[in-house]
Amino acid sequence: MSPPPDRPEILDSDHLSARTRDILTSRLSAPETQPCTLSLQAYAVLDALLPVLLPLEEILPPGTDINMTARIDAALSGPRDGWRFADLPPDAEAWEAALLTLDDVAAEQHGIRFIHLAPELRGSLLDAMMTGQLGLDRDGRLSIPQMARWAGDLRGEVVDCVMSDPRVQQALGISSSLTGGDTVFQGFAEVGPNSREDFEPKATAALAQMADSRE
Amino acid sequence: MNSTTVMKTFAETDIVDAVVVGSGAGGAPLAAELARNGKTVVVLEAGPAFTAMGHTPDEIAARELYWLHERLSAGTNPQAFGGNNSGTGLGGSLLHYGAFMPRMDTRDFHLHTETGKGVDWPFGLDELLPYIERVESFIGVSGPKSYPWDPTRRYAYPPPPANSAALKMREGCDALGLRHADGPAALITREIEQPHFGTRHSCANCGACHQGCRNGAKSGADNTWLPMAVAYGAELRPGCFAHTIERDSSGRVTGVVYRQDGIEHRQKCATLVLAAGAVETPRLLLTNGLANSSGQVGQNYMTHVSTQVWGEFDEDIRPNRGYPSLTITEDMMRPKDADFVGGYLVQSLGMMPATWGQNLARSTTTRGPAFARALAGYNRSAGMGINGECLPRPENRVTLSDEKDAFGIPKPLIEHSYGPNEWAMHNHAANLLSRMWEAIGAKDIRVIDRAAHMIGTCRMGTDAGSNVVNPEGRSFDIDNLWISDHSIFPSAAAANPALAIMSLSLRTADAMLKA
Repeated sequence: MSPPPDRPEILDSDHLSARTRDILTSRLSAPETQPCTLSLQAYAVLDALLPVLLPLEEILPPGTDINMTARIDAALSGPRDGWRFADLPPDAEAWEAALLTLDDVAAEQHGIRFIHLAPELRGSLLDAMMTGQLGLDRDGRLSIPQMARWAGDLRGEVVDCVMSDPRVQQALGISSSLTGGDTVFQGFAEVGPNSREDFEPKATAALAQMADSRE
Repeated sequence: MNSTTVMKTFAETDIVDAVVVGSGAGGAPLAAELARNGKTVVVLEAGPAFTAMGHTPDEIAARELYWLHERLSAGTNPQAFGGNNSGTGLGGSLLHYGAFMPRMDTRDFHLHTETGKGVDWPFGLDELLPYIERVESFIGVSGPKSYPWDPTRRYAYPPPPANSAALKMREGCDALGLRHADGPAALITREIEQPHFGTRHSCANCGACHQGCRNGAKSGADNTWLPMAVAYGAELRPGCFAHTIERDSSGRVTGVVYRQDGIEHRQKCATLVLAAGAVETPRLLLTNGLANSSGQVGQNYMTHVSTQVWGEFDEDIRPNRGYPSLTITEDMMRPKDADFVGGYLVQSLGMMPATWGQNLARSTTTRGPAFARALAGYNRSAGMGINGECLPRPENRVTLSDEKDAFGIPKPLIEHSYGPNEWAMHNHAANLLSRMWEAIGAKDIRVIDRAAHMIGTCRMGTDAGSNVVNPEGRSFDIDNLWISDHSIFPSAAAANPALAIMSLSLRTADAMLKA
C-alpha cells in the first residue's frame, strides 16, 4: 500500500457543503472488506486491467492510490444507476462473467492467466474486447457482443470512480464540488474563459496544466 | 414546502376527488389547479421529499434524484436511463432537469400534414399557447429581451451570464452565419417571494442544475406547483409506490393500492390521474391490464436525437461553471439542406465532470495514456448538443420483461432503435456542429451519438382505435382515468418536453374540471 495521500485542499474550502465534504472524504479510504462482490479471481483480473485501461500516474502524484478496484467492487453491491443493457445479466453477475471471460481468453491465447500477462498483452485483450473481437459462448461467460456492451459499462464505472475522487479533482483543477457552502451559497462569480477564481483549484497534473500556465 | 403551511391529510377511506400518481411536470400543475378549484387531491410520489439545501453537486450521490428502479434497455440504440432522464422525489424529474425551456415550434404540431411522416397533434400551438404563457409566468423563466425566432415573446427575467461554452457557441454560430440568442431557461435571476412557498434566490451560476438546485433559483415543481397545491388543501404523500389500480364491476377506477415503508395502503378516489412518465405510466397500465383496447399502451416510444459534439480549446473553459446550456439557435428547425423531416434545436453545453467523462468513455475506445489525456482535458472542453424530432416506429416500445423487481412487478423493457430519419438528423448535426467548432479553432473534436428524454407510449388523439387517450388526456376505455405526462405526446417535437408537459397538465386539469 502506498502511504496515505495528502488531504486535497478542496476539502477544506468554505465553498463546499458539509454533506459534499463528507461524501468526498469517504472516498479517501478503501472499503473495509475486499472483495465484497466479485470472486477473488475476478477481482484480481479487474485489479490487473485498470492500470492498463486508465493509468492514473498520468494524472495523480506518484504513490497516490485511489483504491479503484476496491471501490468499484463495493459499488457493484450498492445502489446502481437504474438501467442495464437487456442483453447483459444483472450488473454483479455481468462483471463477474466478463472478468472471468478475459481470464479464460488469456489462458487460451497465451497459456497464462490475465494477471500474469505483460501490460502490452493485457492491453491487446482489452482492445479486442472493446472493438467486438473477444468473447466466449459458454455458460458463465460473455459472448463477443456482450463483452463489447460490457466494455462501455466498465469504462463508465471507471470514469465515475475517477472523476468523483477529490484527489483527481484537485489534480485536474476541477471546481465542480465547490458550488457553495452551507451558510453562504456562493456559486461562481466568474463563468467565462480564463477566469479562475481564487478559491478554485489550479491543476497540478502536467496533462491538465496547459490552460493554467497561460494565466 | 412553505414551513408555515400545515398540510391537510385525508383518510384512506375518504373518496378523494383525484389521486395523482407522480409529482413532477405532469402531476404537479394539475394537482395544484384541481386543488385551487376546490377539489380534494392526494398526490402519490414514489420518491422522498428532498430539501433544496441538502442537494449535493457530487454526481454519484446526486443519483438519489434519479429513478433507479432497474430498466432493461434494448434495440440497436439502447437508451441510457437513470442519469438525467427519469426522476424521483417530490418534484419528479424537475428536481434534476436542465431547465432549458424552449417552446414547441408551431410546425411540430402538424408534422404529418407538413411532411407525410410522423403524427399530427390533435390541436395546434394556438390551443396550447395560453397554458404555455401561464406556466412561464407562474414558475419563472428567463430569456432574452427579443427572441430572434419569435419577436413577440417576452420573458420576465433577464438571462444568467453566459459561461464559456455559451460564448464559444456564439462564436461558432457567427463563423457559420447562424443566428443565436440566450435561450429560455427556467430559472430566476433576481430574488422573489414565490406565492405559497417563500423566498427563491437568484441563480448563483453554480452549474449543478442536474444535481438539484440548492437555492430555489431553478423553477421546479418543488418550489412552485406543489406548495400551491398544498396551500389549497392537496395532500402530498412521498415514499408511496403505486402498483395496483382497483375498479368496480362497471370497470371504473375506485382506488389505488400503493406500498409505503413496506406496507400496502389503499386510497379510494373518484378519479385517477397517471403522471408517472413515458415508462412508468404504461408499465402501470400494462401490469394492471387496463385502458388498452387500442393495443397502443407502450407503443410509439420516442426520444430526442441528442447528438453532442465536444471540442478542446487552448483556454481555461471550466465547463462546470455557470448555467450549462445558455446559447440556443433555432435555425435548424427546418434546415434547407435537410435530408430528414422535422428539425432540431442546438444548445451550448457545459457539464459536470463525471457526466462528461461518462459520455467520453462510452463513445470512444481510447485506452492507456490517451484515455488519461482525454479526461485531463475536462477544464479545456466545451460542448454543443441538439434536441431533435424522433419519429414513432413500431419496433420502439415499452413492454413488460420476464424479470421482476423488488416489488414483484415486471421490470420494463424499452426497445429503441434509430430509423433513417434519426440517423440523417444525427449526421447533419454532427457535421454542422463539428464545422462550427473547427471554424473557431477547437481541437480533438468528438461526436457523441446519444438519445435523450422519453416520449410517447400512451398517445392522445381523436381516434379510439389508434390512441390511448383523447385530446384532453382522458382514457377512451375508462372515463375516470386520465393521463398527464409526456406519454400522451403524439410526436416528439424538437423542444425539451418539460414546458409542454406542464402546459398540457394545466389543460387536462381544465378538462377534468369541466367533465
